[in-house]
Amino acid sequence: MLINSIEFIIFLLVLVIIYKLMPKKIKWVVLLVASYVFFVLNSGKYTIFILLSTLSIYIAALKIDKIGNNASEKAKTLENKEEKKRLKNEAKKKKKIVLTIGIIVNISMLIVLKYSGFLIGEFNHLFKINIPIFKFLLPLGISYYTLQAISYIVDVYRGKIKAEKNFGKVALFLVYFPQLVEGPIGRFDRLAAQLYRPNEITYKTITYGSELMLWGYFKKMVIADRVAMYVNYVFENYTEYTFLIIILAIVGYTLQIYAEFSGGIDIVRGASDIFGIELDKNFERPFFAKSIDEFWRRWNITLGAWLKEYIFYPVSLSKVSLKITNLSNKYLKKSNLSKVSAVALSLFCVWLGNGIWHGSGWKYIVYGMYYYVIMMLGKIFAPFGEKIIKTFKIKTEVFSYKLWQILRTTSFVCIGMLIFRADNLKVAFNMFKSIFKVNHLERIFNGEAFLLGGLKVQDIIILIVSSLIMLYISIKQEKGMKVRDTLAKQNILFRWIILYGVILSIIIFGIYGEGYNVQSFIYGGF
Amino acid sequence: MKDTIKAFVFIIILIIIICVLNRVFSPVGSSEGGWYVAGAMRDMYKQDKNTIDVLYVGDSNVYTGVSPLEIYNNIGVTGFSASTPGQDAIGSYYVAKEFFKTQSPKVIMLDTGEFFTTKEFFTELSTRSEIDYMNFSFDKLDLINEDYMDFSIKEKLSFLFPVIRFHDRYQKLTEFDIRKLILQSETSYKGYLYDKKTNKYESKGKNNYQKYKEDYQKKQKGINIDNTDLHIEKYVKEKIDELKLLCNQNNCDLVLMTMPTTDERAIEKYEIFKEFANEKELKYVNFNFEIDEPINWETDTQDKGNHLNIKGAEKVGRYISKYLSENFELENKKEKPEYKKWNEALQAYNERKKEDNV
Repeated sequence: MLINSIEFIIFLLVLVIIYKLMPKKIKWVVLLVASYVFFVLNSGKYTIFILLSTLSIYIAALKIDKIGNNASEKAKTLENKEEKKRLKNEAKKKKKIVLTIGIIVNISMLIVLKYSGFLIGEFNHLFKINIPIFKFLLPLGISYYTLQAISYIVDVYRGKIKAEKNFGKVALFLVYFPQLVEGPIGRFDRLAAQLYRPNEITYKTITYGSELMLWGYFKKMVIADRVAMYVNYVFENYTEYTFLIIILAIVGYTLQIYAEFSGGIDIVRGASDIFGIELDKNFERPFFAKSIDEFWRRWNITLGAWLKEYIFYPVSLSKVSLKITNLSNKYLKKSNLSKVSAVALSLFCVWLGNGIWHGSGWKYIVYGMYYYVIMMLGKIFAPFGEKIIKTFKIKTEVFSYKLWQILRTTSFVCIGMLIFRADNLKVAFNMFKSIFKVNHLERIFNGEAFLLGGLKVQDIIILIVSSLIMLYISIKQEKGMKVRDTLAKQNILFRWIILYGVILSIIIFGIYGEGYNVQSFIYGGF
Repeated sequence: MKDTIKAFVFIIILIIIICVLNRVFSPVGSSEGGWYVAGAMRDMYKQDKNTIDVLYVGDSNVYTGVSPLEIYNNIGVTGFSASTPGQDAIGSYYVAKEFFKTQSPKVIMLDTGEFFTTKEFFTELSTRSEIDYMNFSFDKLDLINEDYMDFSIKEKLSFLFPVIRFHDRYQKLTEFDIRKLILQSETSYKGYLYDKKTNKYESKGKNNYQKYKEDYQKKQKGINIDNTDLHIEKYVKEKIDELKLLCNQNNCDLVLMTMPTTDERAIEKYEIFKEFANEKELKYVNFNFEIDEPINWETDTQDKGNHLNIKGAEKVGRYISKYLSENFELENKKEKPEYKKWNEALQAYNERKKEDNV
């Protein structure tokens, strides 16, 4: 059941009615049952994996809590400080063992289902053997709920949250249907209370939620799936094209993935808003970012935050990292390189994790490493850049400089997207090389270059106009406008014209139905 | 409460807008593909109430072979050819149901052309033509929900909201698509689609009617329909039972008719239909073997024997006129002042024939 399908809309409508009618006490049970129905419809027998995951974190969290509680109870009876400390350390060790088991169970399922094919393939290749590769279908949202599962037990371990005693509630936290499709990756401390409380479905939650969903559908169906026609065609026939067509395909893919991923997130956040449950934001207008660092704080925010919280910090505080920091302080003094080397290992792990999370295959590892290298180079050469700015008295607060920064960041992101989209690294490299070749210029001048993959002139016009609308709204949001609040303050006539306009644009200009290849959500396959 | 009303009004306006868009985006009546045929079907809504005595239903052979104005010209009996490409028994049944809402036909002549057609051979044009011409009603919902059709939720929605299926026609919209919202004039000759083209049937033998008839008489003795692999589909039988019941409730006679055809197995089918009509106690007429004036497949077909042209329709018209006169007591409406429009339509029809030297 795709979230851009009529079945999903019907599912949502039925759920809204049932949720509204059910007594307050069991509203969260309705969400749990509905989420499992959604999961089973999408993943069938693979539902067992999310159940196992839930069971593992449920038991692990309770055990961790119990160890901690027992230790605290025991500590109260002890007078000796040394004894208390020893008890505390013992408890910590035990908790760590349980946590490690919990993490291993969850990561193992992810590795077996998502990465075993790649790993066994590489192993076979390396040792010239032939271990059979099992191809598994991925349970819906395994890459998302696994991270949520880990964050839950780690947070319990850190004492940030208390272990939930109700198995059903833990299950709901993991399986809540809107976030299964392509995130956002929820955190227990922010999400759980919202899920379990009896929320009121009101006129406001319905209108606000529906508006966000409509905006998401607009981005997905009018923009992303339309530009995908061009992108897919060029990427499939890239050997025939050079220069501008390749650039257009890469930029097009960047537009496609943004409109699609952020659109998908808008749809699921909107759906959740209807139930009065606010999911975390996953996008903050990433193409206004002036550096790669900033880009990743605006793009797939919840993944970035997860990596920071559960990889960056633990690695930074690990013994190896501290050793590296000490050594760099000793030999590089307090120079810029010393600062860079202090975070080198943590960032390496973060970007390796980011790459691997996106998929199994070398290109995903390279994708992660690409950003790692850019960030490290950025950090290494930062003083050099500052020197240039000072020497040439470059104004950094003016529009032109900010535009340069945005274009520079976007260009790096586009190259990253090329690696991500290309079938393999060789294709990505060949396409990159083709940018610098100029063949068949006549295709540009006679317009053929813009009308590939079945795009017509009308499609180009729709793409330009809809992208400009998206840009306009992004600029307004960047300036602090809350679009739905602003819309709610307008006169009813204007408000309805806007809403009818969006609905009819989706119905008329959306890419769906006979003759169109509706694209699955790229981030929906994770 | 105020919010509920607001939401209700919002949805009602949205539905109205979508209904208008449905009409605009639906290709019914446009010149694309075969959609002009379904446009001709909409002419049935433009007929004055209770003015039609005979309804002709069936597939493309009916709208190309049965010209109601030809019959009106001959015997003054009014009729309408409510046929669509590949119209099956289900489609014909719902056409009749729709027709009875505004008309009281005395006779329904149902073509047997699609009696052997199974679902696998339904095309989008045939299915949609059967449904898309219809105004919204519970009958339309019943048709969309017909078990045999087995439509998915998406398909059902697209029948209710054609804009979903044809949204990409925004690239092809013409002035006609807007004009058709208010178009009052008829686009066909009482459902008949006039065609003067002649494109002869290449196969020899069939053009010699005498030989064809002799062959038939010889073969007739050898045909054993007990062993045939041709079977009238179950859904067809069920729908004919329903149609018969509908006709009985409306004091109307149901007649099965087989349009002229170059089909190699026409004789075998003739025997099957005769037996079927007997079994169902229905009248049956076959325009291949019972017609006085045989079809000349060199001059009377517009597309190499697939469909008749105006010359063929004239011959069929003469035979139907005779058949109706002999079997039913239908009133000659030519002299009646309330049928002035019919006489005007006939005049326009005859003028066109005259222009084309038919």
